[in-house]
Amino acid sequence: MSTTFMSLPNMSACDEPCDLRVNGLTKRYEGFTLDAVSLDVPRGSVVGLIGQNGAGKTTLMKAILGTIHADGGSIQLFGRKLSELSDAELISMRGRVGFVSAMTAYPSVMTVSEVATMSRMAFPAFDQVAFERIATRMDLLPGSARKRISELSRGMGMKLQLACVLASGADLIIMDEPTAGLDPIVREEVLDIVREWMEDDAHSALISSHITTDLEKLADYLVLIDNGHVILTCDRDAIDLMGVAHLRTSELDRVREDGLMSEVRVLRHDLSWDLLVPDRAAFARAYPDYVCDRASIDDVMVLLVKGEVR
Amino acid sequence: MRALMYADWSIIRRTFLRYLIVTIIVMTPVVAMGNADGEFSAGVAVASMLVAMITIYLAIGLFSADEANGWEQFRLTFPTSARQVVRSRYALTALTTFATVILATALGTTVQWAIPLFLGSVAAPRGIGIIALTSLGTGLAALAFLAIEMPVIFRVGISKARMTFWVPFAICMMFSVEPIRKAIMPILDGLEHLAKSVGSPAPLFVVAACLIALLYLGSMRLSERIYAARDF
Repeated sequence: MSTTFMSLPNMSACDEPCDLRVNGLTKRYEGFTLDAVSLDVPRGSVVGLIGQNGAGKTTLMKAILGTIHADGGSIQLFGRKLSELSDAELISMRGRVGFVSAMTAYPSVMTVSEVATMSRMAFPAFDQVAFERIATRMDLLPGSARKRISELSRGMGMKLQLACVLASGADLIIMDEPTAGLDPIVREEVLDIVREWMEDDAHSALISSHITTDLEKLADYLVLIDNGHVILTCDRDAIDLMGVAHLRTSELDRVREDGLMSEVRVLRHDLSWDLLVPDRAAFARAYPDYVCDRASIDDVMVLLVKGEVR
Repeated sequence: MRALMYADWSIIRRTFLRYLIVTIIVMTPVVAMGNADGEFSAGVAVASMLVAMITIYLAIGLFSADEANGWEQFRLTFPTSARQVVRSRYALTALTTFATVILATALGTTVQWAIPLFLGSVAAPRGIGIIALTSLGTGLAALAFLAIEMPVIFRVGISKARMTFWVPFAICMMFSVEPIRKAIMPILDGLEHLAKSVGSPAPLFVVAACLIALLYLGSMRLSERIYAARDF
C-alpha cells in the first residue's frame, strides 16, 4: 500500500500567473515574529488566510499593504517586486489593490457620499456607476447617502467598504475579517457580492477570516498560519478530501504500527483521539471499521494547531 | 493627495463652526474687560485669539480624527504614499491658517466697529492693516508651534504627542527668565533700532515670515522621513 495518499498536502509556489506573491516575508516584533512566510495568490483565485488570533494574519496583510515595513523577504504585486518600484509606480500599483478592513476606518464625520467622492479621487479607475449599482443593491443608497460613518451599523459600514473597493477598479482585494460580527443575512449578501466580483477571471482576493464556513464557500486555496509560520498551504479540494477519524487508543496504535501515514497528527480527548486523515477515502478503504468523518476547515485548523504528531 | 485633503476638509468643515463658537465664548469676557480697562485693542485681541485658538484646534482635531477609528492606518492602503499623507496635512494646515487669518481680520474689525453699540466706546481702536498684521503674525506663530509639534505627532501619534505641547510654550517662557531676557535684550534692541532706521517694521516681519516658512518646510521634510519609517 502506498504511503503517499496519507501525506498532508503542501502546495509549492504556483506556476500560474500570480497577482500577489509573498516570498520569505519576515517581520520581527518583541515577542512575535512573522517568520519567512510565503504565499501566492494566483490570478482569478481566492486565497483564504486562516489562523487563530495573534497568529500573524493581520501582520502579513499589513506588510503586503505597506503599512508596516518587513525585515526580510519580498512581495510581488502583479509580477513586480514592491522594493524595486519608485514612489509613483508604487502608488499606481496600489490603485490596483483594494483593502477591506475589519473595522470601517473612514473618518467618522464623513458621509457615505463623501466617502464615495474621496474614493473616486483616490482610485484613478473608480467607477461611480458601479459604486451606485453595488451600493443600491446593498441598500446603502439612496437612503444612507447622507448618513455619517459614525451612524452606520457594522454591516452597513462593511457594505460601504465593499462598494468602494469593488468599484475602485482593483484587480486584487485584500479583506481582513470581512464577515466578522455580521448577521447571517448581511454575511451572505457580502459573500454574494464578492463571489460575483470573482466571476471575472482577472480578479483575485486574499481573505482572512475566522468564519471558516465562509471560506469553504469562497476560497480556492487555503493558507494556515500559526505563531508566525505558515503550517499548511493547499487547495480547497485537498481539504474536501481530508477526514477526521475518531479512534480509541488501540485503534490509533494500530494505525501508527501500520505506518501508512507519513505524519500521525492527533488531538486527544478524554476517551478517544481525533486523527487528521489526509485522504478520507483511502483511509476508509484501509480501515473500513473505523469512523472517519469529512474534515471541515475548522477541524483541520484545530488538529494542525492544537494537535500533536505521534 | 487630493483624496486625503478632501477627507481632511470634510472634517474641518464640520468642526470649524464648533471651534469658532467656543473661541467666541472664551474671548467675549476677556475682550469686554480689556476694553473697559482702556488700553486694550479689542479688534487686535479678537483677531489674534481667533487665529491662535482655531488654527491649533483645527490641526489637533485633524490628528485626533486620524487616531479615532484607524483612519491613520487605513488611508495608507489607498493609492498614496506616506509623503503625500504628510504633504497634504501640512498644505491643508497652512491653507486653513491663512483662511483663519482673513476671517479673524474681518471679525476683529467688525468687533471693533460693533463695540460702541454695546459698551459705549472702544478703547485703543486700530486700523484694519494693524489688525491684519497682528492676525498674520499670530498665524505665523501658530504655524511655528505646529512646525515644532507635527514631526512629533507624525512619530508617536497625537495621544502621546499631547504631552509635549508645553515644550514650545516653555521655550517662549524662558525668554522671560531674567538672565535669558538680559541676554536677548541687545538683540531685540538691535532689531527695534533696525526697524526704526528702515522706518517700518514690515521688512522684519517679512524676514520673520520667511524664517517661519523655512521652519515649516523643514518640519515637513522631517515629518516625511519620520512618517515613512513608521509602522502601523
